[in-house]
Amino acid sequence: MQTIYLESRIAEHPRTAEILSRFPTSRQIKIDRYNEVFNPKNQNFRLQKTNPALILAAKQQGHVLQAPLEYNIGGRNNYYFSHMINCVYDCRYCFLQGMFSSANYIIFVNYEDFFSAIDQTAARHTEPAWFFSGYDCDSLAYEPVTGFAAACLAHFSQRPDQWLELRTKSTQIRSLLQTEPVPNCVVAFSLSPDATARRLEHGAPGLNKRIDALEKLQQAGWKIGLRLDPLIYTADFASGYREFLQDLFSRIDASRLHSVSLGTFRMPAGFFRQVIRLYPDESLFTDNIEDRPDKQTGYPIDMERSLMEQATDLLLEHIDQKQLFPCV
Amino acid sequence: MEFQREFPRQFTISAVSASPTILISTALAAEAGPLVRHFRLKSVTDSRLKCWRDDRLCVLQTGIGSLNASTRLGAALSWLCPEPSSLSPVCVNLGVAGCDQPLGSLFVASKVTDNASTQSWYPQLTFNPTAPEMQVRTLSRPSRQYRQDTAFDMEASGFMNAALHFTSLEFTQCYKVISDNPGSPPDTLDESLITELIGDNVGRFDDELQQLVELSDQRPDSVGIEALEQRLYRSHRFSPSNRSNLRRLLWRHRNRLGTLPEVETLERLSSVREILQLIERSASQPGPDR
Repeated sequence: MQTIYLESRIAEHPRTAEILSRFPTSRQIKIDRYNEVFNPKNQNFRLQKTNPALILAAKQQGHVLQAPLEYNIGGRNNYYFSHMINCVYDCRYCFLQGMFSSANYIIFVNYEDFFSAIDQTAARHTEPAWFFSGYDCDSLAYEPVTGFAAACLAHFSQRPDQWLELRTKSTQIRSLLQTEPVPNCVVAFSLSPDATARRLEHGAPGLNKRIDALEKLQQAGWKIGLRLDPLIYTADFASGYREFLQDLFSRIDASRLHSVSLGTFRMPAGFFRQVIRLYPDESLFTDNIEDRPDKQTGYPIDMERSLMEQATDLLLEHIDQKQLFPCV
Repeated sequence: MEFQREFPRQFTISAVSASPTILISTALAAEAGPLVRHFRLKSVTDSRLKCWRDDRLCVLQTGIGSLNASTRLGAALSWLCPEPSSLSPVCVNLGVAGCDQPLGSLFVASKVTDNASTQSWYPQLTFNPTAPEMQVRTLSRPSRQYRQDTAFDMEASGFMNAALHFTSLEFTQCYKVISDNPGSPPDTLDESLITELIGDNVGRFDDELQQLVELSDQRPDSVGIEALEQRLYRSHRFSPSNRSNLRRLLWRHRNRLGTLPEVETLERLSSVREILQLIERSASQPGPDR
C-alpha cells in the first residue's frame, strides 16, 4: 500500500494507529472527509485498481441499510452494512466497478458505531434480523488488516436474534477457526467453475483453495453457505457446472449446508455504462448482453431463465429445495 | 489563423502517435526553457498561446497566476483534444514554489488547495511517483509565508481546474521545485536561478513522466472505435442507452473479427436502430479465431 489517506478526525483512533503500523513505508495524506478523495467523478477505476490507495475514515451515517429484495437467504428483515468499500480482488463481473468512480479502498474504523446501528435496527423487529456484511467489499479478504470479522463476531455471538452473513472469496479463515462457531453466523463463499474463476476473478484465491476453506469451516462446526452468483454463460455451461458441483459436493456435507443462492450476471444499466467504458475489450460485456426492461443490463431474459433452470436442476441433485434461494 | 496551421485539428492523440499526448503547463519562460531544451521541442508561433511541441509532448507557458493557468491550459487542451476520448492526455504542471524546504527540492502535489475559494483537489498518485509528496496552496499574490508541509504557488489550482475538464485525476499532476524559503526570500529570485533550479530537476521530472506514460499505456486502445462513434453521433441521434449499445457492438465486432465496420455504410443508414442491427449482424459473421 503506497498511499494512505486519513481523515483528520480519526487520525488518533487506536484502530487507525493499528492499521497504519502495518504500512510503515506508505505515504500518509491527511484529508477532511473521505468523499473529497473517493467521490470525484473524473477518476479511472481500472487504472486505480492497479495500485489502489487506502482511505481511513469514519462513517457518519447510513451504517446499516435495507438490503435489496432479492438479497435474502430465508429471513424477512434483511440489511447490509459495509465497514469497507471496494474489494481487494478484481472480479471482472463485479458491480462495484460501475458503482464507484474510485477503486481505492475505504476502511471505516468506527466499528462500534456499526454495531450500535445494528442493535437499533434489530430492536425494531420482533423476528430475527439478517445483516449482510459482504455487499460493498469481501467480508474476510482484508481481515489481517482490519480485524473487522473478529470484532463483528464478538458482537453477534452475544445476540442470537441478530444473524450475520460473512460473504467472501477469501481463505483468511484463521480467526474463525480459532474461535467457537457462532451459531447465528453464516460464512458464505462465492464460487464459480474453475475456468470461469481463472478467467474473471483476478487476484481471488483459486476454486480449490476456497473449497478447502469451506471444508475446514464446516468441519469446525461453522454454518456455511454457497453463493453461485453470478452464473456466467459459457458454451459448456451445463457440463462445466455439473463437474464443478460434483467436485464441490464430494468435499462438503450438503445436508449441513445453510443455504445456496444463485443469480445470473447482471447489473443496473447505469453501472454497466461505466463498466463498458472501463473494459470495452472484455467479451463478458460485449457478447450476449442487452439492456432489459427491468433497467438491468444482463443476459437476455430467455437465456437468463435457461441458465437459472440448468443450474437449479444441477444443484437439486445435491441439495434440498429449502436450501436454495434464487436471486431474481 | 496561424495557430490553426500549427495546431491543425488532426493534432489529436490518435493522429500524433500511439503514445498519449503529454501537456506540461508552466507559468514562466524560465520554467519552460529547460523543458524545451531537454525534450528538444520546437516553438509554435501564435499570438495567443506560447507553446513548444513535438509529436508526443507539448510545453505550454501560461503566464503567472491561477486565472492565466486555467484559461490558457483550457484553450490549449481544446485544440489538442477536440473530441472527448477515453485516451485523455497526461497533464502536468511544473513550476516553482515557496516552502520551508531546501532550495531545488522537487515535490509532487498530494493535495492542491485554492486559497481564495478553499476548493481542494487530490491528484491520484496511482503511478507511484518517486518524488516526495507535498500539499500545495495556490495564492493570488507572492507571499513570504513558509511552512514545512505546504508549498505556496500561484498556478496549481487553476491548472487542476482546467485539466480536470479534459483528463482524469490519475493524469493531472503538479510538480513543484522549491525556489524560495526563509533563507532565500523571493526578492533574491531571478530568471536565471529559476532556470537553473528547474534544469537541475528536469531529468528526474522526465523519469516521473515515464511512470505516468506507462500507466496511461494500460488503457485499452479505443481510438478507432471512438472516432467511428463520433462520426455516427454527427449523423444520427443516439440516446445514452443506444450509445452504450453502439460501443458494446463495435467492441464485439473488433474483438471477434479484428476490424470495424465501414463508417460510410453505417452513415448512410436512416436510423440508429438500423445501424445497431447492421453492426450486430456483421459481428456475428464467422471470423478469425481470436
